[in-house]
Amino acid sequence: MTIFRYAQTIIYNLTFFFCATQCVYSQSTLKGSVIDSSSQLPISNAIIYTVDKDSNTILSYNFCNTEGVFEIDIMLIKYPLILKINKLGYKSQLYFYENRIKIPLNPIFQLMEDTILIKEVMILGRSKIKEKKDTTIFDVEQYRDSTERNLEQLLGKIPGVEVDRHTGEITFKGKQIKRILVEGDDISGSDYRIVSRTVDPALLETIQIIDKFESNELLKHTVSSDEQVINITLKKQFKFSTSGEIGVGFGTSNQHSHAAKLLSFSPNIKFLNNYEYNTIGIASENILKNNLNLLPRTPNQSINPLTSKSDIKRFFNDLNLNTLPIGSELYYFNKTGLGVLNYSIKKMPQLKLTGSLSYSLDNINSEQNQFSIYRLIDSIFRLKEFEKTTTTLHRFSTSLSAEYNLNKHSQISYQGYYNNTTINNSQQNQVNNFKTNIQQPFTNYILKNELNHIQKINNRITIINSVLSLNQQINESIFIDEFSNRLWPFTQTNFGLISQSALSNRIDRQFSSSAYFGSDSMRLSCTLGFAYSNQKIASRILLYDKSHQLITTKDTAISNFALIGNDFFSQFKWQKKWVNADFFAEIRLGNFFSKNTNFLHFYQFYGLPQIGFSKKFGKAVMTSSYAYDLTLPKFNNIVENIYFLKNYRNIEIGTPEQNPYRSHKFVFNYTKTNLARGYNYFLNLTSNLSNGGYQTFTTIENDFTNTTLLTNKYPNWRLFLNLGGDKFIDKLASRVFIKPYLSFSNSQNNLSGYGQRTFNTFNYGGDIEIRSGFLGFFNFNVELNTGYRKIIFKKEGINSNLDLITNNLFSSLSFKVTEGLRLEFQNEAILINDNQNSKATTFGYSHLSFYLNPKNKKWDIMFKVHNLLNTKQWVYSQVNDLTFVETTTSLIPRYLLIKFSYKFNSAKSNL
Amino acid sequence: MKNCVLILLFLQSTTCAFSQNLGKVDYILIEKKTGSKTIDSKKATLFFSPDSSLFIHSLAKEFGEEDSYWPESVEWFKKKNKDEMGAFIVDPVGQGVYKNFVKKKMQFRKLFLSEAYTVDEPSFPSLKWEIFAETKNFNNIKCQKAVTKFRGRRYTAWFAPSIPIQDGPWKLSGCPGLILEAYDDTDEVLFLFAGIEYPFQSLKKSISPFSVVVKHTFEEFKVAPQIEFEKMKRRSLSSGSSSGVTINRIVNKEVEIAF
Repeated sequence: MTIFRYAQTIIYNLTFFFCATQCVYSQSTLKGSVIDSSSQLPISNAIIYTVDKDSNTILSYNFCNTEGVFEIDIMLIKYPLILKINKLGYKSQLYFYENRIKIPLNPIFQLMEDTILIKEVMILGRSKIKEKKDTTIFDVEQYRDSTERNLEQLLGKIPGVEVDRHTGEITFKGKQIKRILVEGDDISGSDYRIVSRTVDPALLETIQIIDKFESNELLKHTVSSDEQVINITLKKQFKFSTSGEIGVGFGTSNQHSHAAKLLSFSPNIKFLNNYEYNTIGIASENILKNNLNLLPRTPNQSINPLTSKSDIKRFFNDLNLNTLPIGSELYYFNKTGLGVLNYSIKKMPQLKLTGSLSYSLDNINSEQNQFSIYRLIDSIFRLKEFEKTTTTLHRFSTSLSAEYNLNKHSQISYQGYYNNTTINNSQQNQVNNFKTNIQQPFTNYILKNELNHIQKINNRITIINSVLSLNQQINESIFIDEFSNRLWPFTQTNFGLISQSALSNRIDRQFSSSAYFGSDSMRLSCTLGFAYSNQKIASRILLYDKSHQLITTKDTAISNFALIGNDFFSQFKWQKKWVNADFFAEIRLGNFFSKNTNFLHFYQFYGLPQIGFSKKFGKAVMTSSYAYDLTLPKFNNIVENIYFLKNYRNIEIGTPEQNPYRSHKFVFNYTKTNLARGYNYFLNLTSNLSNGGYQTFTTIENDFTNTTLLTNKYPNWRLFLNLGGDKFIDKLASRVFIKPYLSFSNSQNNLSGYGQRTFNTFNYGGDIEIRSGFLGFFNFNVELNTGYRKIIFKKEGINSNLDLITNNLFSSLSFKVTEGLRLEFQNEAILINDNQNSKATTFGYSHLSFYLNPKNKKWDIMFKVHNLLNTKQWVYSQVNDLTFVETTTSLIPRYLLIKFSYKFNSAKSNL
Repeated sequence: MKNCVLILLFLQSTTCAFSQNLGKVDYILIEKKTGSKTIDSKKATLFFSPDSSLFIHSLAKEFGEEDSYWPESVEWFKKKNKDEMGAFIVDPVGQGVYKNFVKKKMQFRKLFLSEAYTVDEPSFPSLKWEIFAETKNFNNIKCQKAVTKFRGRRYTAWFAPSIPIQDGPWKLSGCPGLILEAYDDTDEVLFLFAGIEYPFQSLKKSISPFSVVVKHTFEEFKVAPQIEFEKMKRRSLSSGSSSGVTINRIVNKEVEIAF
């Protein structure tokens, strides 16, 4: 029995040992269970997985059933085995088993509830940037660091966006932004500064940048728009809201800065009000432009029948100088009052109204001392000028744009604009020894009416008929106390006492009809039209002697001049779009003649063929275009100094241009932007070759004035090469801009009495800008512009060189000392040096500001020391083909300003 | 004793369902339809808790959100979602999938023309995922690649092991981590990751099955496109406005091709 029992025990033990080892060594799956460590209850649905020790990736996995039991495949696992048990809301557990023997049989794993895990995966996963076709969307919250006070400052932090700190002009990927829409509604026209400098970034959800934007629903898919716009969308709580800010600021030296803004938004009605009064140098034109071109885009504008020859000619005349970026406010002693109301109303689905109402009053006093050196080919002429100006400007304007959809296929729209500007300008001048005193009242009325009708025949054919009428009346009167006419080439000066009055009245009418055939992939447009323009100028000059006795009254040669111009124009444009490339061909043809009551003055035919293409290579876009301009002018009489204004074109016609005007313009652009990686590179090459004869400057000889002619002789060749880069470093919220440029131009001028001269101009330099910040604690913006310009004059073997170096260093430092206190320091320094002047010109100014933002964020207190270093005067130099001008200007002396601002909003949410 | 365990299990499961462990994933749902040149893309959201989830899209109430979230305006979205009869193919309930991993229940709601089908899956689809070592980051969340075949399509999914739930968009589930992105190999069905919020506090709709007005069986759902087209055709012909007009059906390829 004992033996039997002993044998039995051995057998049991052997069996058990055999079974057990068999279990361990042959197990291809691991079976176990998972329980809650505190309640000891099974956990269902937990995830069990094995992890590769090298790549930390999952090899095999399974889930617990409702009883917390799992079974996982471990057949092919390499040891050590890493087992991870995980469940949402529990702390994950990790187990290491060096070999199979170490793996327990039917293990029970315990998981502990853990909230830390939540933090571990608490992610705001909304991507910062989304790109879809022509739309790029930025999530505002991910770019804000609470230091930005308006939309403009926020835009400067977004990759690919560049904001000019002087003009407020915005570009994206190197292309200009035409307007800013609020939730799809245009409440500012193209003067978007009223939006970009008013809207608080805290209201915003996203910033969308839309290229090739066409706002008119009926024109989409048939008319091609090249506009790039920004559309801002509001956070949910601000979609129906009223918000605003009231600010009151007082300073020493009787300085004031008060402002109130009120924004009211709902999906159907939007209002934007801005009221401002200041004496700190911000004139109304720095807040609000006032120009016809700023009105909302109308269907008529897509026709664009008239040539933009003035732009082409300007291209010739400008040397693309880097004008020094000195804020004009520095020398202003002003009083400015401004009220602006912009609105957009969509109460009925078929009617959309947008408009504006604005009034501004500026009183500006400025003083300037200017010392000019005119470096002529064989002599130097020096001019000392003192100018004291007092200008009072009243400006009232109102605009209304209405779109009414008659049905799904037709729309009528109206745009009206009225502007009244009155300027009273009083100027005291001293030129060398001559003193002058000029009173210059000026009034200008503009009334514009435009009616458009769009008819969509089907989805592929659209017809637009437009009627445009524009009346403009300018009444200008100049009284010159002591007159000194600065005459070229300064060999003589005349002076006398002159009063001049001129009344100019211009009426434009235009009718055009366009047919568009197209789809997304192909578009063809044909336009035929007729434009009529009539301009009358009545001018009279009264000449007095030094003792204020009237010597003579003389009607000038252009007195009672009536100019009637008719322009028949046509335009054909064809566009084709492939998957990655756009191609377009366009020809604009027209003839234009003008005459006065007696004889024909001027006749011209113009042809403007242009071809271009745009192609995308992944993140890169390449565009190229070639334009040929042929103008055949014909005169039957000499025309003296006609200022002909036709649809905002200023054509100055001098003596007849006998040669046909031809120009070839080639533009190449290459842009590579990867917003996710935060870089933007561009290359821009422009070449322009012209043939013909063209005069840039004329005056009339009439008893007491001289004539000067400056004729550009062609060929004239200019080449511009501009390349740059912008890198956005995400973790530091930093941006680095590098923009070298190079241009070369060659032209020949003929200055009357001075013969033929040749200009060769080399211009190269670069801008480097670094903007950075450390998570909102410290932001800095350092901008260095450096430029070198060499101008070579040649005349009959005489060479003269001018080497000019300009350096401009702007720095802005911003510290977030605490959550509620920020400190800002701005400094600008300019250094100018040239080879013909041993003394370098330097200039600088500094401002120091403190911003105090209490906890509720509704109050904002600003304390500013303006012109901290108290520079009383600054000097700057300007150079162009002919002149080198140094200007000395008095600065506003140092003053202190304290400003309280109160923010409010109806959404009851902290901004 | 067994009953006690069941009660405790029930309590455990309900506790989990109402716990604070809620999350929200946004996807861009893209379906390329036959015969249409444009790609239909819409926002879809997965509200998840440890043991149940609700995947929802085409929800009319959410238009407010769409406005700020999408490049296109609401108007555009509405127009794009209009069918030929002019009716919006969005409804206040929304379309989507409800999953309960404890009860092993899956219910979905889908619109065919103007008829909503709310259907219970006969059994919880058990997807066999093949796991690959390949990884990819979505907003700094490390994801691993997995591939499976489901209802006639081969899907590639990117799941996040750091978010330990076996859930994903639409009917896709069963990975050892939340699926953040998935697409089929013909690129006709895509669920693209658009964002994640976890924990998500402001869930207005509870994670619960769809309210059923008209019950449809899974077998009816399989032939729903034909049935609804015939209904629409009859309606349109009986209205008299389409006399002499032939109505042809463009057969759109559904997401589920084979059952």
